[in-house]
Amino acid sequence: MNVAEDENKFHDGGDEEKEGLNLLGSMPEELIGQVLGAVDQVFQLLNINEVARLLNMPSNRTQSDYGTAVVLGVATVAVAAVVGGIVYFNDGKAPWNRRKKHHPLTKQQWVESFESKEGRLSDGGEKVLHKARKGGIDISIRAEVWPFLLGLYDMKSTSAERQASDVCKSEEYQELRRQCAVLKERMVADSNKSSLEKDDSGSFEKVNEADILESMIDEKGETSESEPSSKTDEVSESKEKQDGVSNNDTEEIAANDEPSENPKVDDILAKGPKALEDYKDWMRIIRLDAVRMNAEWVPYSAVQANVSEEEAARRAGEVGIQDDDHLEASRRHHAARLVAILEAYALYDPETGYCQGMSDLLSPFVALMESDSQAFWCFVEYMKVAKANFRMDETGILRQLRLVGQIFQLSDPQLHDHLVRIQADDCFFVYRMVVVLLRRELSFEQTVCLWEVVWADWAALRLEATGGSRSVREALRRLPASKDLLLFTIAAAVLQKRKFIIEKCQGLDEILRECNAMAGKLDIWELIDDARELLRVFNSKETDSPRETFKVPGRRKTRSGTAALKMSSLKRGAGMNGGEGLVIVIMGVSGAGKSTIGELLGRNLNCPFIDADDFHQAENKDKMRNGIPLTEDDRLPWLEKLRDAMADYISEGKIAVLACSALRQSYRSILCSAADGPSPDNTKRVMFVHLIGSKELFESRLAARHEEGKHFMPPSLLQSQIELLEDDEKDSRSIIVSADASLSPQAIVDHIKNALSARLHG
Amino acid sequence: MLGGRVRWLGIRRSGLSASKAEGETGAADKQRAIKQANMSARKRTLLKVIILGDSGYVNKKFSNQYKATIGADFLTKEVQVEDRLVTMQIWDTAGQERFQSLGVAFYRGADCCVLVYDVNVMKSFDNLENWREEFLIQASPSDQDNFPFVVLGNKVDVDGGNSRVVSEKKAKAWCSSKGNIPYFETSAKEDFNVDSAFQCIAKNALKNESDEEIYLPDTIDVAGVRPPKSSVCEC
Repeated sequence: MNVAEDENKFHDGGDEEKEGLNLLGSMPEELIGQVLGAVDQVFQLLNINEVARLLNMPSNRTQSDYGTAVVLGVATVAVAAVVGGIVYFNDGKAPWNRRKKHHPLTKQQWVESFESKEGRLSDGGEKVLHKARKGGIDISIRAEVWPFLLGLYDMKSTSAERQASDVCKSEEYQELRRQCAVLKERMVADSNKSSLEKDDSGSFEKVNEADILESMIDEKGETSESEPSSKTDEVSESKEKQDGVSNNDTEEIAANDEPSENPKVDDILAKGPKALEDYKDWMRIIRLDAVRMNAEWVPYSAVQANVSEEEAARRAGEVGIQDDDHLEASRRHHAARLVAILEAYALYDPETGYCQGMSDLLSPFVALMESDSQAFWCFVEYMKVAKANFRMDETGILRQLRLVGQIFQLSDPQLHDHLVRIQADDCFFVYRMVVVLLRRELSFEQTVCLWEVVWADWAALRLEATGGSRSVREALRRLPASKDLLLFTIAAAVLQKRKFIIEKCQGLDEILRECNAMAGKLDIWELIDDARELLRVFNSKETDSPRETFKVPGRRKTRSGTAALKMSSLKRGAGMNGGEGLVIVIMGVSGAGKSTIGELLGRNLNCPFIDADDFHQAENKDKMRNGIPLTEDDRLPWLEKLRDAMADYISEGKIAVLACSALRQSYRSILCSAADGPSPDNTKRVMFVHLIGSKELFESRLAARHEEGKHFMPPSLLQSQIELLEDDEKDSRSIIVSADASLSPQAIVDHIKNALSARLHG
Repeated sequence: MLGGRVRWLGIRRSGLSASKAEGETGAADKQRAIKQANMSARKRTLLKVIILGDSGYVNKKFSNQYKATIGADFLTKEVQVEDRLVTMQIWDTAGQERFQSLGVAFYRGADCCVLVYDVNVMKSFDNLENWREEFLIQASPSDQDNFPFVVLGNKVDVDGGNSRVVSEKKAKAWCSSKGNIPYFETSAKEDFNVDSAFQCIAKNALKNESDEEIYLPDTIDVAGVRPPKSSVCEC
């Protein structure tokens, strides 16, 4: 079945009015009742000016009808539908809907996607995915569709298989919760013990800590949740029924102290006191963040919005939240569920544990899913990707910041050059957007809309990777997917501000302020459309750098990438027509990474790499090996040889990369003289790239090299080199590059290439 | 090749100065650099202040938002110091240790660092030393010994002071052992002593006024603006 047919079946781009009517028509009566009640409430809450703005907003931006309501923070399921309805009935063509329309996957389409016999998605979920990637998902079915998008349910699963998995997963979750309680018991016991052992002066704090810990424990016995609910599928229901049937499992287990019964707890305890300290700290911060969660989600979950005070207090007591008396019941209940799930997650994945920002990622699941277990396991699936953002070594976040930088570089060189100029090309101004996947910049509705499109992309790529059909590949060709769609969306958001950034922002702080102030001003479908366009551009220009991990599966990398482009532009800059070449001197003290970077740059530019160390005469090498600093007289013949070699390349019109310490201005003048000649522009024949970094880093590199006997430069000479190092004057031939250990060599080389081509053309 | 060597000797003899062509480019560059510097250099009435401390103990009133800070954010606060009106850019960065790279990116150019702890939580006090060291490593200010810090013992209002575990004496002793760091007891919730703390922060930051060259180049410098000499090799 081809894509066009699919779209027809889904009324894609179909008659808006009809769809609007359908939407109301398909609502059950009691829901319509709720809708009208909610509309009443919301319009009372609404600032009347905002309503006016909603209905007259002269904007040409894309909005889903639902989204429009939401941007103003109005949306309830009901209101969104009704406002949508009003729009349809008024004229069917609201001014803000002139751009491409995005139709979410509707409930009816969703229900019809399943074959009736076994409850399988009839085409392995292809149509559903395609639809979700293009238009998101209707609010009413989100909680049902998400487990499929996230991979919690197999696309090919039957309803029986899914039910079995639910039961199994629910038991697993309850088991984690039980172990959370056990661990807390242990921590209280530990700190009580140590406070007894301590003398008077120290006990004060410990007792205090024990009190706090104790308060985190369910007085009624949290293990009431641990009973596997095999009798009924409605886990949450059974959980509530069992509550109050107090038992003392917790104490018994702690007393028995049988290691095999609490494997997760044992894992933590086995890692020693630091792991336990960490867990304690996570428990504290989880509670802190949970009660700070705002109420933006409330209109999206009628059931949870109307939770009773008693129920909220019960849940809050269960996980031991303090300082939440000021919260209304719905938020208190929400906070308690967040705490329970996040604690379980920290135990489930102790390597990630808890990190601020994770509560932001979990909250939408808790809001839209009634079952803690379901929310937990969906969160687990999401975290399989998102936990890269919370790694201790920060490699995940740094990779993504680099990719955002590359997107700017390829799609908007002018902006990129500006960022380089104001030292903001590390893109740290999008840090928050990356870490919590735009949750802080977008409204609740916009966030889930973006996330489900992102998940649908992941799911489509999974489908393709596991031998997707021809129609899957065709759909991916027509609408390219990326596991990094989020980063393209972030880039799109920043690019909306490009003019302001280029004209007004002279520092990282100014861009950061601009980015952090985007909240509430973004149009999610416009961003997603722009992100897809950026992805298309990026794929067509994709670099072939070996280090870059970014790859769109199923797409072959070509050699005609940026390196080749840069190469030709460098050649143009170097004035190849005049028979003149270019020598790029990579300079800096020993251990700065000159050889590594030089060699890689040479490979990138497809030109020879020369190591100045190879030009030292034997006496010099002996001196250095014995820790004797070289004199000026020692260096002269060496520099002379280098300069001659450079002059050869230049006069032959070739490009070469030279790694040379070139510490002093006078040495650089010698090397520059290689370009002296009749050329009208000899300042562009020799360029210096100065690698800088911390002394400690360079020292450690030298020490490692010295031990391996690889290099004749002992670490003790580093100081003498640093003393020799002269700062360049403001020389157009000099480029300073940080050789920070956190940057990959390829990233450094990419910086160099950009800066060089900017300089040579500038 | 012979010609090249002669030219080289000539350059060497003339005191290793730049050649004529170089000189011209250098001058143009210099002008551009000065222009750039004027545009980008922080006016001295704008002070960059970094607030650090264990997460959750820095009260919301010190920071920009009620929710946990992700990444970095700042707010600005106008303070009258004697006859000058200064704008303080108060930075708050995510507090957990796994966000270290944020420090490198956002601490640079700081004029003052404010260390905050909760007088009711011993651990938050014990960690002050870690925060201080962390700051010095990541911001690498040019004068590590005299960089202005201010310590705030916050939440003195809690439970009428009964739950307090860090005494004022203990905190002051630590502060004086670290080069007489000014110390304030505050309650952000009750707005107690906060203004005088910020007055002090501003004054201390202004003292460092002569220390203009704080920017560390950690990226390429295309426009030709040179970093201060001292920061190039960090020695």
